[in-house]
Amino acid sequence: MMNNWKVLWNGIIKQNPAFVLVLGMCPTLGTTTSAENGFGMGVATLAVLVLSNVVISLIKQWIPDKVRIPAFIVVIASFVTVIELLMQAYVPSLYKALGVFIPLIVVNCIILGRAEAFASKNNVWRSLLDGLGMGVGFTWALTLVGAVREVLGNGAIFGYELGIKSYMPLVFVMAPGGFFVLGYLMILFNRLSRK
Amino acid sequence: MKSTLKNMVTVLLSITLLASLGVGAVNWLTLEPIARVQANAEREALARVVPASGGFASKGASDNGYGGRVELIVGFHPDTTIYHIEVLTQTETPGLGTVMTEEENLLLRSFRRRNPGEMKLSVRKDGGDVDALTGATVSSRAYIEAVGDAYNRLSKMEGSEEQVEQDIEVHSGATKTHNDE
Amino acid sequence: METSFFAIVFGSIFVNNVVLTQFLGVCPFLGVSSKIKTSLGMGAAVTFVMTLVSVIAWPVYMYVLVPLGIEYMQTIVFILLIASVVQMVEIVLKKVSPALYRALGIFLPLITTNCAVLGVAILMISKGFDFGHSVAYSAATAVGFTLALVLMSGIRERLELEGIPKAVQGVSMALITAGMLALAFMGFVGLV
Repeated sequence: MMNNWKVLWNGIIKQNPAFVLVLGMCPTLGTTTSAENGFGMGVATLAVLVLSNVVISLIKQWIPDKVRIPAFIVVIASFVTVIELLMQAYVPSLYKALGVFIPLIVVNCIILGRAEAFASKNNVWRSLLDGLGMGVGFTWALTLVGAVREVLGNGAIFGYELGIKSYMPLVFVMAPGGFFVLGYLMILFNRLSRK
Repeated sequence: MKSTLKNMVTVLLSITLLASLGVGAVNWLTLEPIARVQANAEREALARVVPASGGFASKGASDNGYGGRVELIVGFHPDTTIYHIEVLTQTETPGLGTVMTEEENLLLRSFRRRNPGEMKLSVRKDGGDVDALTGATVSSRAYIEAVGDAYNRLSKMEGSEEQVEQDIEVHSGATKTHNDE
Repeated sequence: METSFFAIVFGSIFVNNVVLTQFLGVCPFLGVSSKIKTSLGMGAAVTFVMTLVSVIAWPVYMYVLVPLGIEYMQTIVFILLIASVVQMVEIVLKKVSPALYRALGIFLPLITTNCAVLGVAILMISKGFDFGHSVAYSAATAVGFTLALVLMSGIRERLELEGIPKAVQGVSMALITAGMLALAFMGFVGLV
């Protein structure tokens, strides 16, 4: 049994959901057209992850085994809708930029995966830490991919123009670029973390 | 808890009920902020499309976008040449049709300082005067249709006398406004 | 809606390919696409589920959610609908074709978390399609998904015979391959 500190740290590097577990690929590719968008998406996912992990851990003893997946889905979907509404009201430009990927948080395999693998078997505090760790790991991965794509494709970072825009191939913020950047970053991460 | 039919149904129903109530509450709480955000967006767009020296604005729409409805607001000089256009609503393809929302895009450039009433309102491919967006012919056609719609509404409005108001009110039709500077 | 059926169908399969342009359905795309046969099976299953879901989801949204003013329940209702449809398909498939059921294995329940299925349901509503166009859109999208999957597995089957450095193997290779496939598909831009 990992101690609590390890639970938190696990999701950030060792079992990073994007680079190692290869979960949540759709938003990792679809929302990383800029560092800001990647970061925003990561934070939204983190929020849902922590909330659903906590609630599921709280009610786990009342859920009959055969209906646990539908039960988890209802919990997760509700929190996603809540986050959706809050974003629409308080961060409308991010809401517009992330578009359909916000409701798609509900099918982000990370959340259902952690609910099944961790929250349904651990106490509330550890489930919170796990959600936090995985969420932070996902967020920094998304922000990194977004930053690379933004620099290479738009010559900017977090919206600040670097003055090199006219030299940069736009393809990096378009679909093929997403695949390439993620692929190469994954190779890099795995080589570095193996040392 | 054992997986008896009674347990399964009760638990699932209760969770769903509680969840729906919770979500409904948040929805109710955010109704106002969201409405405010949408009204602000329109007000800001209106301020941007009307020339500082005075002019008119008119909304136009088309349902024939590649992904559905395209709504825009067009700002005219007093001589009904176009000053600026802002897209209010669109669900076009990212990178292709969504270019219509960007500054200095081909469609906007084709329309600026021109009078829609004196243009051939279609893409060059169809023999018209408007440059279409690369790889987004359907989106471009919808944009043009919406601009034409906005112009038509404006012409209809010229007939009646509208009160000039301090606070800009945006109706589904056209709005005459003078920008007081 | 005047946008022709042809534009929707051709567009959804090629120009706006759900996986290669919109990044939906990437998880199964990377996970299943190593063999052509499994890809075809998966594609067929997804096509069936996606089309069936849209046939049910559209009227549910239009005639239940909208009149009651609870459009915000869309995400919850749709995902439960998808989970139910997939469960139903599993049960039917087990009875009708146990061989196919076994071949698809774990990938069948995973269709529930396929973001393309939920994504398409949400998108058809947000684009304001009527019933007919919605179903065409879903079916065409699923065909595009299958196409991407089959193409990918064709390439990967070949690649398996080549020597690839260890660090690059697996998902990373798949991603880079997908990138090239996506580049190729960009050539369809301008046709619609």
